[in-house]
Amino acid sequence: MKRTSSPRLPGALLCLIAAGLLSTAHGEEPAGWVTKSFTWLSRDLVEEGTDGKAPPLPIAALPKDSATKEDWARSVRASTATITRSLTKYLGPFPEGTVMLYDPASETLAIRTTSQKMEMLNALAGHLKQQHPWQPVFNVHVVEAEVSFVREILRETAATPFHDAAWAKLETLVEKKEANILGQLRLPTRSGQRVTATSGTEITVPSSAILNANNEARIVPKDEVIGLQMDVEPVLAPDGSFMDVNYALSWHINAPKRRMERVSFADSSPGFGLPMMDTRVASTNTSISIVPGHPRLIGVWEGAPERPGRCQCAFLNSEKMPGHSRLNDALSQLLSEHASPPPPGAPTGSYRMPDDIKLAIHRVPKSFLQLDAQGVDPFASSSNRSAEAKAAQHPDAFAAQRILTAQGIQFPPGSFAFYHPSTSFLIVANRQPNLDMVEAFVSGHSCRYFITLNFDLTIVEGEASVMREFAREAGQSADHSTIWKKMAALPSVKWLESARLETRSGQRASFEAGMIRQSVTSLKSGASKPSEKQGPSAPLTQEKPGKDASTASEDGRTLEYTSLPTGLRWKVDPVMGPAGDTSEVNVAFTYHYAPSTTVQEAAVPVLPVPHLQHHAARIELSTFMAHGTTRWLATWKPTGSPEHEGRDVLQAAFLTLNLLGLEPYPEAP
Amino acid sequence: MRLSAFIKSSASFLLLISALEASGAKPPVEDPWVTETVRGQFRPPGEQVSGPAADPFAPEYIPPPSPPRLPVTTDSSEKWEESIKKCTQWNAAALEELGVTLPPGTLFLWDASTSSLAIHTQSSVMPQIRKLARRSLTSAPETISVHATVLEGRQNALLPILEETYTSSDHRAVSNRLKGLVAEGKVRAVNEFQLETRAGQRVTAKSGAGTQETLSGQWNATRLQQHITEEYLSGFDLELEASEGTIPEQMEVSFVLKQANTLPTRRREKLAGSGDKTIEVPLADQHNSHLECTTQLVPGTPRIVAAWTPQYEGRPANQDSIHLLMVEANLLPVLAPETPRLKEILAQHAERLKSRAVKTAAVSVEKSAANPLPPGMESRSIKVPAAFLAEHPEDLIKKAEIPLPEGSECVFHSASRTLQVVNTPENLDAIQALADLPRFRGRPVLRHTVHILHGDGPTLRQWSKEMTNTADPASKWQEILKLASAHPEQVKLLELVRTETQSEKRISVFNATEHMLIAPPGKPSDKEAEEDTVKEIQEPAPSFEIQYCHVGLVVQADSIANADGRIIECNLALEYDYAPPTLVPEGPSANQEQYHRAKVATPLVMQSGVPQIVGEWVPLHLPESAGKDLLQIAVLRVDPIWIPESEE
Repeated sequence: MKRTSSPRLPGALLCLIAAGLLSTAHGEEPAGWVTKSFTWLSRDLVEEGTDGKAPPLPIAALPKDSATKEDWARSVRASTATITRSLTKYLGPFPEGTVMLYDPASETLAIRTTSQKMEMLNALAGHLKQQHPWQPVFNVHVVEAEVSFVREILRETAATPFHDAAWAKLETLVEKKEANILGQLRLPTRSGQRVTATSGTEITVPSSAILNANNEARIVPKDEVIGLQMDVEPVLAPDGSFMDVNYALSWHINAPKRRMERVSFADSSPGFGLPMMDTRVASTNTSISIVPGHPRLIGVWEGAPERPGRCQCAFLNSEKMPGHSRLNDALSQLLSEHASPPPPGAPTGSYRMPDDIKLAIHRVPKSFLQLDAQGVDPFASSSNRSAEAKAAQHPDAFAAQRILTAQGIQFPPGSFAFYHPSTSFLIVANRQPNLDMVEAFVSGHSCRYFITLNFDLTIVEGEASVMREFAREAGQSADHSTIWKKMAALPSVKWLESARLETRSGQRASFEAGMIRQSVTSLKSGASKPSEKQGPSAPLTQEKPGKDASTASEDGRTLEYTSLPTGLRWKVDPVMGPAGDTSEVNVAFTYHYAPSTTVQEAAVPVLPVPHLQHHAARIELSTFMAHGTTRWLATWKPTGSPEHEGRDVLQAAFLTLNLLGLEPYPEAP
Repeated sequence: MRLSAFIKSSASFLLLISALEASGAKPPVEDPWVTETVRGQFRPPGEQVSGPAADPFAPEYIPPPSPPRLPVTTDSSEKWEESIKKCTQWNAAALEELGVTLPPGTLFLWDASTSSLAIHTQSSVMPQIRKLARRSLTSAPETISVHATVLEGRQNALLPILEETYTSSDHRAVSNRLKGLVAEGKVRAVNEFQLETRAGQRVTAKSGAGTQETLSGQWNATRLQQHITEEYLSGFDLELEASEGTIPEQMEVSFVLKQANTLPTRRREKLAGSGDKTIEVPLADQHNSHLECTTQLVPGTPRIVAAWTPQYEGRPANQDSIHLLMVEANLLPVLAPETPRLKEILAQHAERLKSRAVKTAAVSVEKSAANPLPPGMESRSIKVPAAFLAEHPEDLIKKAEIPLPEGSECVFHSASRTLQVVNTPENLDAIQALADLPRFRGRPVLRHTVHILHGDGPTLRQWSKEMTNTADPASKWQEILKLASAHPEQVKLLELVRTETQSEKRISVFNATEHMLIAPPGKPSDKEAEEDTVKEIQEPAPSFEIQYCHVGLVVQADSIANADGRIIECNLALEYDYAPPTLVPEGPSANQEQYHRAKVATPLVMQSGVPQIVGEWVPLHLPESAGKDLLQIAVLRVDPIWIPESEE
């Protein structure tokens, strides 16, 4: 980027000018005149031609540092002539004495005009700024902190999509070394495009074992990444104020553990050790709406067993990467230096807006301009009609005003309406009552903001008698918030697990956290033939069992591995009701209330390998929930595990729903 | 406005252009007459290359006049003078059509058969004639000669040079400075190639030490029975293909450079034989930098087309050197030897003939600028790029909403790419600005620079946050580079790769060790199987094959610049191994390798010349980073380079 420095101005002053603080006060402007600079993209200065292409904007780069005063004066004259031609189309004529300087490298426009005209420019620039292109950059952090702290922020962030305070607290803890950043990835992308990033160790894990006639095994490996993986695909809202983000996160809570499982056959052939891999993984896959710049807590799960009292959480941060250069701070000073002074006396130029006239900007679709072509005489010859239609496609500067006038809105002297085609802004200056009529006319086009549904699932355990008491109470209402509060306050009720899942209406979301244990669940045989190739198998890639059998003696019997997840796994699939405050909620979850155990089958085993036994509650249901309510979803008795043997306890799952509207964050111009 | 006159006849155009040249050219005080021979083959004046006259079957086809024949040496002086006159008429007319104003008295003697042209004229016009003469040799075959040098220096010597050359296409000054540094011993020329080729032909050059490396093998219980190797080159392997570029007088050159900076690192890996016996297989890790790029070069102008941090064993701990690839290419016409004594003969006759000066057009044009201009308007001639003339210039000016008021004029000449415009000074400035817009300068070459930094987590995290939110990422980037050079213990520059490509052509860089590993063997039993279960197998001997895996930095990018070159869309795939692979003793296969790798695949929108953080990761599972907060960051910068069109 070219920057032209202004040697006579101290840096601090430049900053103040850039901030607009000194724009009227740097001494050179006569009363009533203002100099200011804006980022004004060249695409907002040109209008698409009939071929759909934007025409070139013929403005030269700023003169070099060595340029003479005359070069600068010429540059100001050229900018003024070209930009005035362009801006007049939707801001009306500019008062005499208006000067402009445009820096195409930084897309900065410096302008000196009357304060009244500047007000209009300010308003338009503020709206244009919201339309400036930007690209999202995501940053995901996996952080380990105290369980109590994580539960606290989970509660704090339930009802808001803006988790800035929670993230700030966590950052402080990281600084104090009370929390650790375990993993981090940055994902820059653009609207509608998927970005993937991983960091970690690529290892191979067994995926199956092929047996030969001698009951010996050859392991077929597959690749796996142990570490952090994230996919993000954002779609920016048309006005750029928020984005819908589809993402998938996967994180290995701790390093995988290998174990050997003894394989023994019913016949007399000797057994052998079969390697297994156990990994502890948290993963989630969902779609939410995000206002960039605000961190979001996207997942909470138990930490590694070797770090008791700590749990892990993931935050998704998003930033806007501006798609244009930064403002050239020095430009307004350069303009003041090199432009000829404004005409003497008060600015009485060719245009002056009466005091009771106010400015309003609305965003309306381009189809708005087609209203100009309607009302054409239907009996006119077709050639005439097509000419009219053409005029609507490429309307003149006054089309917008004609349309509003046709609606009976009056335009007293000094008022006007223009349409800015590249941004779809309707700019109207009129008296307040007329502006209200304009607003009423165009309000049909107002934007709707989408809603994210925030679900918090909590699983607790308590004495059966206590739980049964509460259950009776729960039959009275569909909202169990009070029961939940009461229950949470009881010391006898143990808080087992909490998890967060956010999604949008109609989007399925899933979350899993816990140990994934490998096990052999089937022995397949006979289906595959040994391959013709006698060479070695294609290595370290995902292989289909049997395809790569390396020796003729392999008889196609394959021990197939299965990954058996334990811990908490859940899915929600909500559909918002028509009123927008209730939602149909489809939930399915599996909760393993005890670690899985290895079972060696009795005398005649089905498989030559011991298998895993799970202790889990599996719930699948569909219900309606309202915003801000908690529902007691299910109760079960943990059975079959040694630790629950002989105790009369019940476990219960509570689900809380919060609807998060994303107000567009208006940015100060 | 008055409809601009489009001048088709070359004669009237000639008036205009020459008038322009004449009005601007003030004869220098000291402008001696010289006699010189150049190689050139000017077309006869008025010949149209295209159009109906070029069709020999068209009824109005007139065969082009044949060039004057050169007398033999024994011929009389008169014959020579006659020939000089004819040659002068022919060549003077041809040159004046090309916009050269020849001083009266200029003489030519020309041997068309060898394209040797002796000229007697004032020295001030010679540079222009030389350039045009070179360009006139269109029918001669051309050879492309490429000189490529790989230079090595430490970061502190070469980083400033890379810093300077982000946006420039002409590295002549830098090349001279590098020569100085080589003389001082601060920079070393690691290798140098001089290669000849012709357009569209691939040329390859290799130099270095060849070693035999394992490819595959077979073993039985106790030893290797079969061991197949292939030759591997440690050194340089350069492939290049050059062709004439889309812009006249530029060359499109594509390179594939593979550099193995050191001999491979040898290691042995054990394979299980029978019982507790093991067989050792010799393996090697090859430290390669492999770059592919396609770029545009101007003949005679050297350019640093690539830079990288060379691969060594144990990188990145113990080195901070950078390699540069500097390339200079020339496009040379292949001509018969120059006709001898042509210059001398012309000089002999010059003085006598000069008195009867041959009339050139220059004399007749001075009055042509007589038309008075409308008040407030000026006349200006504006050089435009070739792409500007793809559309009717007047349409283009109208489309850009530049007014063409009453009395304005717009005339263009496509051969010299000149607009002659009459308009107000503001509008003339706007037309000039229009002609200078990047969109008419063709597609830029896109120069990609990737840096990978490693450092302490809090510092880099803070910096990254500031970098994302700053209005001035370029200076923020400078800050971290400064920190990296001053405090490498805090932040270290691990990798640097620069290469350039044409829009829409893929960049691919493997600055990585080619890690050799044994593919999982067709072994009947797993290694973990307990000893007593391993049986003697009466089967073909087990075999193995070698495969390679890149360990280091792999960058692939497809980039496209938009019309004004300000925004670049870049599909980037980046892989970086933040640690060498580790061998895990008890994997499911005998030789399980674990790779420590970060990957990013993303569709980016980049601003030209603005560094952007494209990746940020925690180097996970490293024994040395246990308990430490470490972070690595990848930064990409893309600069569009417009190679200037040569001046007429």
